[in-house]
Amino acid sequence: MTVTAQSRNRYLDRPAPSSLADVIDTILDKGLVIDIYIRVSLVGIELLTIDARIVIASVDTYLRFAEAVNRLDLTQTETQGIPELMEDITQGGAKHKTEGAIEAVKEKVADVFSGGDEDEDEEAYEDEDRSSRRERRPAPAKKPRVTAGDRESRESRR
Amino acid sequence: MALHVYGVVAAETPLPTALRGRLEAPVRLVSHRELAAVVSDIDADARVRRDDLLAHARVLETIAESSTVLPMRFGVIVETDGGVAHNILEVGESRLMSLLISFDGFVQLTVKAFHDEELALKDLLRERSEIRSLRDQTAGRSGSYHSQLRLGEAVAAGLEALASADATMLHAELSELAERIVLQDLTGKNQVLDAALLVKRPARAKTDEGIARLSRTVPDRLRLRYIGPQPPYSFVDGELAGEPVWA
Repeated sequence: MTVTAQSRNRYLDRPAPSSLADVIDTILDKGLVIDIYIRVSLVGIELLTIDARIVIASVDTYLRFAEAVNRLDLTQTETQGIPELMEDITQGGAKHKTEGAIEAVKEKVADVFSGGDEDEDEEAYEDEDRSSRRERRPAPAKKPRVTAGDRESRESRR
Repeated sequence: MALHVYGVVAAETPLPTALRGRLEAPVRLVSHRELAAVVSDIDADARVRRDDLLAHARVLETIAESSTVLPMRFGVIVETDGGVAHNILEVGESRLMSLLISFDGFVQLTVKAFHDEELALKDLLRERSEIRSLRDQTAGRSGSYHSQLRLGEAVAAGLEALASADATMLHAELSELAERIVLQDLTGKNQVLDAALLVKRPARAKTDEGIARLSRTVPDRLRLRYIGPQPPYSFVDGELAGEPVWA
């Protein structure tokens, strides 16, 4: 436990620069805008930011939770969590835990922003995320908007 | 050729040396009276890639390290220097000036909190006997589909309550460390909190200490991320115009 706290804390002594996921949360969604004399040279961005907030609390989610708690053994000692945690830290802390919606969006960013000559981008992406499932998908289809900020985003399972 | 606009600073602001923007283009200022726009040359039809998004953030965060900068949302492309001077700086002059004055000496720091799902589930089972007994009824996959579903639903609701309580606690703690605090929309799985803190530059060390202390004392199920320094993204939102350009 102590190891856990110390290791985690080492990463929070100073703030770190934005990652790609942070950037999507901020610069596409916040900041000053002007409504005239403007050219937005990107296509699909509005879909990306909306998509980040799409959430489906599904039967699948419930079943997954049920399975997860069925697996849990409360008699385990806490230290059994540490190897995994250490792995987390070496892989960049909690970042790769941020799956789900952000992950989906990152993939879509990759898709939309990649034309086919983007080998260097793919590599940059691998750095961002070790889990690296990089299958190409068609551009995101328009989906119903779900009000931003709902907590159900944590239940998203995509 | 056109100009990508990153943000707006006071005219006398020194740019960090050799600052590079989108596609490694040199970053420069376009001035009008007491204001200057931070820009770099870009082809008007240039495709946007991940590197372009990161470059926009890097330029702003590099400047924010030492100077006050008002961030533009990504995607503001103007044809000429004159267009930047007139359509952004001159037209927006009074509002930009008052924003620059009100944010002078401040930076934004962002704290994001997430649940480690497994640890959160363990805490939930420990603390909530009714979920524990539901679990015991369905243990070993012997439970029916419906009892599994009921368990999952209870767990989801329990996790949400836990996240909400953790968010309330963190919000209170973080409020002590900032002049202003804004809670932002949650966008990721297992995310508990996304808080933007507006902090005076001289108080940054104290905020750093406070966040470090918090990260040591929160329950193990919570993972914190600490991002910054940033321009005041979350505090200037949309004030130059009523509607987002793509609304």
